[in-house]
Amino acid sequence: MYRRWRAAIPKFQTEELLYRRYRRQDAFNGIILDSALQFPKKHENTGQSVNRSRFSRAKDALWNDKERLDGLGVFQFPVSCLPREAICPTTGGRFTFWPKHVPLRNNYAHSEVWSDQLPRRNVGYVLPTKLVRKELRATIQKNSQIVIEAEL
Amino acid sequence: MIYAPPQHVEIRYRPSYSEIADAEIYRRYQDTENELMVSREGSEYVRAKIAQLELENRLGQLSALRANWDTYGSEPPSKESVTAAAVIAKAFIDFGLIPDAVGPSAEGGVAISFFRNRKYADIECFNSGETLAVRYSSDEKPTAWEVQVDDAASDATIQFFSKYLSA
Repeated sequence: MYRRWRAAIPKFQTEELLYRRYRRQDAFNGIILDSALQFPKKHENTGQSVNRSRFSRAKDALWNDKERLDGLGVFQFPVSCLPREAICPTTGGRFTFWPKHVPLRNNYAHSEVWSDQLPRRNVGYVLPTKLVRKELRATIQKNSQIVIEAEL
Repeated sequence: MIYAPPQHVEIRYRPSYSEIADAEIYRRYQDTENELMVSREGSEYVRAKIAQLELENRLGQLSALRANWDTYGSEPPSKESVTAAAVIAKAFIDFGLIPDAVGPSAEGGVAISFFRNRKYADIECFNSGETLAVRYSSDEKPTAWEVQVDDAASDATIQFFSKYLSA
């Protein structure tokens, strides 16, 4: 999992999976609750942390930067479920989402779900409107699958 | 060697009707017992009462959450979001639409979720004071909308959810 000399690989296949850990109460009958998904705060210039399947296994998502979080579970969702265009029902603002490979020193597979306005401005992470955020979380929920059952 | 004085053991043996009744009485006892269980499970009143107790218990747990409860740095639900969720969830329970899950929101707040007939809907009360809802079915994309705080526990909102989930 150490990054060592490896560069970031920006290209993701649509069928590639993204892993994220969860707690037992973040799921109901084997389905992840969309409320378990968090967006970054404004001006954080970072997306939601995930691990990409090309460079990791599901169980690797159980590690944070210090330790293995035993008892938590892992769910996965495909890159293809991230909408290339999402329109806010109230403001009409258009947003796009994509996975970005952001390797960490001790987690090469670390990636983030990024967002920008449409047309693209490429000036960093753009926090979507609250309704677009809510719909994205539900979209990820709808397409997610639990791969390691949480015990805690 | 450790000495332990003899302990008083209470004999709590009670014969069950399977051991004292003949086959016919035993069968009637069983039928009555099954009817009682079905009636208890089918009782809207009892279901609502149990749901209400579970809700109170759950909201108590959510109030005790600390920052970083999800290991991704999320803030715990505020007192206001727990109170708002309690009012909304109680209104749903009183209506007969019992939430399937009440949990903390990673965005800060409390979420009330429903799964019915291959459909999903939830209401999320945020620490910011806003309330958002979302719904989707297996063959439609998620649609989110804002619920005005005063309307969140209203008959119109509850009936909308009820109709959507049961259609």
